[in-house]
Amino acid sequence: MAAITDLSDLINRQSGGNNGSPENIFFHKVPRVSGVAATAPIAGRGCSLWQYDGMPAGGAVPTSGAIPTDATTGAIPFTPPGGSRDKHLIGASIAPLVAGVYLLYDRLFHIGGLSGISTAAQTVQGSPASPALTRNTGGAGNIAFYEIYTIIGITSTTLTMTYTNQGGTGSRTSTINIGATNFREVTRMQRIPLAAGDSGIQSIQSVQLTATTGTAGNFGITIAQPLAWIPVGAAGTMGWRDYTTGLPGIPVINPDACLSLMFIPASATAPELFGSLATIEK
Amino acid sequence: MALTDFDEYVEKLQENRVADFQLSTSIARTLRLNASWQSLLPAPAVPTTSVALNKDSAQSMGPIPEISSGRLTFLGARINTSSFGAGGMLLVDLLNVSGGLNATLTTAQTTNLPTAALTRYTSGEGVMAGIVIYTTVGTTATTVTISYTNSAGVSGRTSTATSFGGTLFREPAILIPIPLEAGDTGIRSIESVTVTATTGTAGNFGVCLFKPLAMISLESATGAMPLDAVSTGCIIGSLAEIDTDACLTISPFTAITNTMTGAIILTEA
Repeated sequence: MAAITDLSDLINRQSGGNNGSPENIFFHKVPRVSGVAATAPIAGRGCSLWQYDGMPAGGAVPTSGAIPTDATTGAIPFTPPGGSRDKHLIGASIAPLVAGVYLLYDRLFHIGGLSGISTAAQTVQGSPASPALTRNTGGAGNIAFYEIYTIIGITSTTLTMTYTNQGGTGSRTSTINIGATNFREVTRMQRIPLAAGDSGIQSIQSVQLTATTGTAGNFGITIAQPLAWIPVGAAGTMGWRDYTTGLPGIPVINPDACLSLMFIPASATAPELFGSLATIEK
Repeated sequence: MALTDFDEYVEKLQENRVADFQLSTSIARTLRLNASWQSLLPAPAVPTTSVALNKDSAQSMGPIPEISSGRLTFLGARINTSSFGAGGMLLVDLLNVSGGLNATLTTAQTTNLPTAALTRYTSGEGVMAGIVIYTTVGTTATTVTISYTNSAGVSGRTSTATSFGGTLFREPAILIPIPLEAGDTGIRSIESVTVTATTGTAGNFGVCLFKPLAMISLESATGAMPLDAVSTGCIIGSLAEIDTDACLTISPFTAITNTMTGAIILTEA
């Protein structure tokens, strides 16, 4: 990967020089899913915008395990880099109706159709993993979420995730609560912590509930590679990040990345937003 | 052509070539997008037939600097807000506008449609569509869809239903972005508009097609914001290429009611 050399290199490429191929990507989301008002998110907790209508259109609820890409409906579209160049994310902004923090991530894997009443091990990718990750395959930095597609039950229980960590060690386990208020609603996206010492995920073999939540519903598991956090302090303002001068540095976007958004709202209102990503190639 | 380095960037800033604008009224609604080009001075007429816009249109700030064979490039902005409130704006190339639609009809409306053929971004890739309200529509909240041709040239595409009518979706000069049908990444033309149920008042609304160019954050406590592509941040889309015939205009969003004046700094690179 070739790094941006200095400010002059950045300016030159951003203004179209040296195959910089600057691309400013714009998107918007409205608080509706398939034309119907979206379920209100939970203040302070993760909400998936994967299915939200807008430009791009909302993504479908996954069934069997799949590797979404830039060509998958729901992904924020972009032009893959040319030649052997990388696509660098140099800035991002979001202007929403609801304040909070937005996570731009590459949706590496997703599966739906899991049951909130089954206490058997429910296969995610299985072992050996199928489908295996095709991006960030080493797993470093990858994180996992459970994502609610149809509301599950009112009884809180424990989800145990069995996975292979970033070092290739299988049968690692970690747990998180699921079910009951704030952990059952449609579009809830709850991060699943990793076992002590782990810093990433290569694959997830299965998940298992300790007890029924009371309603099967439909939930899924998503593996994500975080790319950037974009905080927005107040509704009606624009949160922006300049990655040439601030953390997390200048992320590289995989040519096949399924760019998606997760949102942690400051209030329980489904967000409407307009956003942009600035990129150059090198 | 492109800017060679930081020194050339500074030299171009010093040329101070700008297109400026002044809004005659406060934005119509807070938090969401506004079609504030209708408030530019001198005021554009309410459109009837679909009109393809360019740098000489009343909806455009100006003057757009003349260039020779180079690249018209967005360097920065100087923006003033009346109430010192935080907010922001989209810088857009407004491609066409039309009006004359009725918010009480529930049939597919084709008045002043299809939209005028695009003269820039002609494939429609990355082009967005919006509803613009010219005369207040009704208080009953409903939804609206459009039938459009996507950027691949496929006609008969239908947007997903989105909010229309009722408070904050009925006032003049608001902009309601339209969600696309699954798989689409842009719009080439709009053939019809359908309101799901009457809003209660006919009003006058239309559609527009626009290409976003940049987002600009307005966050100075003094209300006066000199922004450039390198030193200030606050701009996503810095150094973007601007079509030399662009109808360059703004769609602001703010936390509180504001009027705005300002200038966009442009150069040939």
